Amino acid sequence: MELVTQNFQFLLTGAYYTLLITIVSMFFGLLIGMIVAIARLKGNWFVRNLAKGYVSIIRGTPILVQIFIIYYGLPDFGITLGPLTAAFISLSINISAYLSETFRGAILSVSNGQTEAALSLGLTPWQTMRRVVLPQAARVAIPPLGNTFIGMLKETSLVSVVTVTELLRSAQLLIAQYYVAMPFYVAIALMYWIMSVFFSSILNRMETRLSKAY
Amino acid sequence: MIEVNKLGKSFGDLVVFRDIDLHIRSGEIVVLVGPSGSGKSTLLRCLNGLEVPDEGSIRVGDATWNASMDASAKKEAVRHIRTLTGMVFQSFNLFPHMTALENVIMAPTIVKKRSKAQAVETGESLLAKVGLLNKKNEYPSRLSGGQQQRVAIARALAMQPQIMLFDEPTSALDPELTGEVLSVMKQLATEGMTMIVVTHEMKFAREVANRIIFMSDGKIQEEGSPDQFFVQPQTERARKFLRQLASEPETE
Ligand SMILES: Nc1ncnc2c1ncn2[C@@H]1O[C@H](COP(=O)(O)OP(=O)(O)OP(=O)(O)O)[C@@H](O)[C@H]1O
Ligand SMILES: [Mg+2]
Repeated sequence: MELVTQNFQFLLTGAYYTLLITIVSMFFGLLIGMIVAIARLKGNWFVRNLAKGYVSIIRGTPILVQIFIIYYGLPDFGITLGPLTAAFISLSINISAYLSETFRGAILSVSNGQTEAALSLGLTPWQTMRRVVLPQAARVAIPPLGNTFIGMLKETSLVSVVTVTELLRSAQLLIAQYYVAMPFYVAIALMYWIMSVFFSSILNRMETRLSKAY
Repeated sequence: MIEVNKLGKSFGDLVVFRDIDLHIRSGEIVVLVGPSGSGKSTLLRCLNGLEVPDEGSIRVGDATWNASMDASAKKEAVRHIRTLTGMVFQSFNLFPHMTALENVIMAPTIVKKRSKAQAVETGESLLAKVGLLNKKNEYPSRLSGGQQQRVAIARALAMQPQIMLFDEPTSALDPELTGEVLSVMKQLATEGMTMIVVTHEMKFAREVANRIIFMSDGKIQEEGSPDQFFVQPQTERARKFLRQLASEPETE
């Protein structure tokens, strides 16, 4: 226990990286996921199938393999990335494929009549998307997005394999130093849990706010 | 005001209509009737660019669309036509994430770049006109069907259209709620609005319409004043249609 308090600062730094990776990957994941979803729904034949292939490949391969390809594989093509950058990129890409499916489902759940009403009022297709379809889709998407986000928080532990000193690797380094495992693992388990609970409550609040009209 | 020439529309192998000619004068109220599946909705939707005709031409006010134009000219024409026509749907299609007033002011602020204050002023007067100013801050889910449809009418009017298109505006409503919507439409009619109305409300058609158009089997079978149409229908199809209506009163 004492060991944990002594090294708490170090663990906190690990937690900071875990959070940083989660938030950055989620941000770019949302962005790419939204583009992929719209590409799948509104693109021409080529764009649609490109997006579909992207989602299929990412979802059909293990995330660890994706991390390895980005970090250890890309240098063969002359692209060498720092561990943190590799973590951002691989997790953003991974998460975007799952998020794009969430978005696609949410967008499809908004009835066609909504789009038609907006178009008939003279809105452009893009304005219709932004003002009418996406706000309604967001409400549908928030609960699954929340789950993805919390899942992401935990999946960041995988990037410890490419020497990003996030929470899990912080604990592993301490364990290697002191030759005791349990207190450190319990400590980081608690820290993961606290972060999850914290984000769940934020998401719950957002959900309530978005559904006030219903 | 509206001039439709040789309009044709198919969905794959299904020819919905062909060679439709239609002329509607400013201020005229035309009621479009016909059996289910005869293409009334499709025709109305073509007039608003929600459906793309395969052939023919449409002129609304000073906007012209015709099937032989290139893609970008068509797009521009549809955009122009939409600014001149307002559409009211059977299922209201209010935006559920906006209040009644927000529904009404959205398009004027975005499409016509009105200032918020200006749009609110017009929006409130339109809600007052349909009798719902006191509901301006309610979300659609808290309004009855009749109230929702009246907000939808106000929303369409907010774009100051020259023509209003109604596709069975009361068909989704309980009978006791149809009256409030019909009376708003009657008021619009007396104010000189040009209207095309698809409806099964024959009483409304008789009282308000200047002209009845009867569509069946992909064609305009006959048209005339309500008196002509209801009292002396010219075609056997129209007679059959009216008999069926009479035998199932009040069904929508
Ligand atoms: N998007 C579509 N794709 C394929 N077929 C369609 C589509 N929309 C309409 N149709 C078909 O076109 C025909 C005309 O439909 P439309 O909705 O215009 O008829 P309607 O006269 O409005 O009928 P109702 O009184 O039932 O509303 C019908 O046979 C319908 O099944
Ligand atoms: Mg119809």
